Amino acid sequence: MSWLELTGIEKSFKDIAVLKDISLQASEGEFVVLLGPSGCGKSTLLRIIAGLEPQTQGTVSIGGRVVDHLSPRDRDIAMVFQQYALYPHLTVRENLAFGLTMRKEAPSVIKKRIQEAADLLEIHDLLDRRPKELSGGQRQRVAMGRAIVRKPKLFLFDEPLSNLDARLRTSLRVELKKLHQRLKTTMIYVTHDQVEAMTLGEKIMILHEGKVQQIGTARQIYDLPENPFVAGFMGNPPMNLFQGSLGVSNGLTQFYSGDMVIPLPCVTMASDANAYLGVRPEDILLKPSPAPAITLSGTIEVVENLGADVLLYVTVVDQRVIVRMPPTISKTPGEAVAMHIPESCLHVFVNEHRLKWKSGMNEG
Amino acid sequence: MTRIKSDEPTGWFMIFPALAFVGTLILYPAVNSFTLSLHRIYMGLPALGEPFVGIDNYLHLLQDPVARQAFGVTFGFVILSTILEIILGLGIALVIHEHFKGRGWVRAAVLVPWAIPTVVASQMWRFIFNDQYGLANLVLFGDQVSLYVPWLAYPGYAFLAIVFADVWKTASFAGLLILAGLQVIPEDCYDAARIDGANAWQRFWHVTLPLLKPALLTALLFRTIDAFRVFDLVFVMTQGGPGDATQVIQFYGYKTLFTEGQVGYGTSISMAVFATIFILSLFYIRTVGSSLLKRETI
Repeated sequence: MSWLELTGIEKSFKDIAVLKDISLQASEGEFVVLLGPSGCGKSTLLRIIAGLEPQTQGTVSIGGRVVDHLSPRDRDIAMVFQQYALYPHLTVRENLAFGLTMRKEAPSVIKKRIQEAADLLEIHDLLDRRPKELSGGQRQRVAMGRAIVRKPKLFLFDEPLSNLDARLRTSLRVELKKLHQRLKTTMIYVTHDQVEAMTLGEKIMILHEGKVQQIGTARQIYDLPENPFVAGFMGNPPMNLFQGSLGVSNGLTQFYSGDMVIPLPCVTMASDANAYLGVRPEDILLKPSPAPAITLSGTIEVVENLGADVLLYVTVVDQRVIVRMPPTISKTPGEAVAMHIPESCLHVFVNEHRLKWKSGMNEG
Repeated sequence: MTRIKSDEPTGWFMIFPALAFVGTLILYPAVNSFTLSLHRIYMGLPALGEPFVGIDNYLHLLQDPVARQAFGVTFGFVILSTILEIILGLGIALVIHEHFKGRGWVRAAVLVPWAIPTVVASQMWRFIFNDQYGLANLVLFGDQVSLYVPWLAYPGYAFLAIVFADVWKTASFAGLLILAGLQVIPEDCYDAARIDGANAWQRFWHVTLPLLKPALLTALLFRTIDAFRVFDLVFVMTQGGPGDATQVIQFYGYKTLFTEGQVGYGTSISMAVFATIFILSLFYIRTVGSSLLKRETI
């Protein structure tokens, strides 16, 4: 049995099901990210783990103990909220002490724990201020401090960085990672930001419309997305994803999308009406590849210089393809290009599922 | 050097309507009343003239045992009714803040007493406390007519009856003010407190109450000042009786001025009430106002 285990969690509000048969296992000390677009039910799931919200069905167990009937207080968890949720009438010191006071810890212990947390998060100067005198980043540090002082078995983070500006978000993200490396406590982190998920998560669970789409490491999810949703959700710029159908012509599998026809010699599969073909912008080459590849011809429409990369928006028949190139490339709009896509970089989805085929590294 | 054209004349022009309004309806009556209070004037006895007597009326007021008694009754009324209204209002607010079926109806129903004109409500309470056919007696003693109490004829009961009527009428208003305060407390704070291990009572004591302080103080401010001006309840229910047991200062001032015709002295009582409320308001604005301005942003 895993350290944290969710089994068949379901949640409905009135008649609307927001979580459908969610199961997850995490080992002790693991950093798990629940990732999904807004409204996918990830925060609700976190609140169920916290005990703030009862599940309609299913079981939550923490540290080998089923906690379904325990109040948040007795689950030995700490939570960091998106809006910080600091007590506005208390100083930072009192905010940190609150949970310990409620648990009737000795004053000497409280003092020591606050000291430790303040050391760890470098918030000594803030201890006597009130939340409104702090910036957003400082507030979130204090909120983390409030979680740390309790020394819980499990940390829950509900989009803790999404109210901060981009620069602060990056630096706090790194700090959070350091924090996890030091404390080695199990953490569950909810976010809609795939960069946060990729950088922080040792295990990522992708949720969409209340259902688990995929669970795996960042690498697995990025390289081998289980379905078109995951493929399109992870990555920026997103994967080029064409919706169409598979058919067989002259003994060769072909992918049809609009007026575009792409031969897929690597796929032995017969025809299917519901198919997707995907390729990541960075996997497209403008030079012929030594490995088996397919070739598409198109016209460059827009060239976007991002500094570290250049994005080419290429029109192929009636579809658009985004290509990511190093900044050294010099291309101009209107130019015709031949794009080479190694077969091993193709993602084929049939009936909303990843198609596994014989050749290449794509075999999952 | 060119002078920058001043905006001042335009500014004065803009605020003229407001100034005129305040001047004619507030400043002039106040100043005029103050002037009246410095004269000895008897209504209906013009032969005595209207001699200027300086602060004689005020000196008299300081030594007037009836006035002192009336001030005592008023303060008693203010303190008791305000405390009860805040406590009850807090209870009402906590109930109608919860989500339950029919909450909209309950919220509307709670406000009904407040919407009834005070004179009508006072009349109703006078009937309720009537010694022969009052509802209070019927509910308490049923058909045992011999036990019926003439509530408004006993000093203690009469005072409590007025407090009761006022609390009934205005607790919901206090509740409404407090409800507004409850609604701005973020749910997150409660979630955080639950995870921090606070039980329901501790959440109320450590989260709700401190965060409700500004709303409670606002309600307190409104209610104290309003309670100090109590008049119609007394006028309708007891006429200050029995004896002077429910004679509040406003009613005493009214009696002195309009029944006894002592315009100068009656006005000085009004001025005393005015001064008391003014000082009270200043005190509140200094203490409460600053804490309202400092209101925690969340």
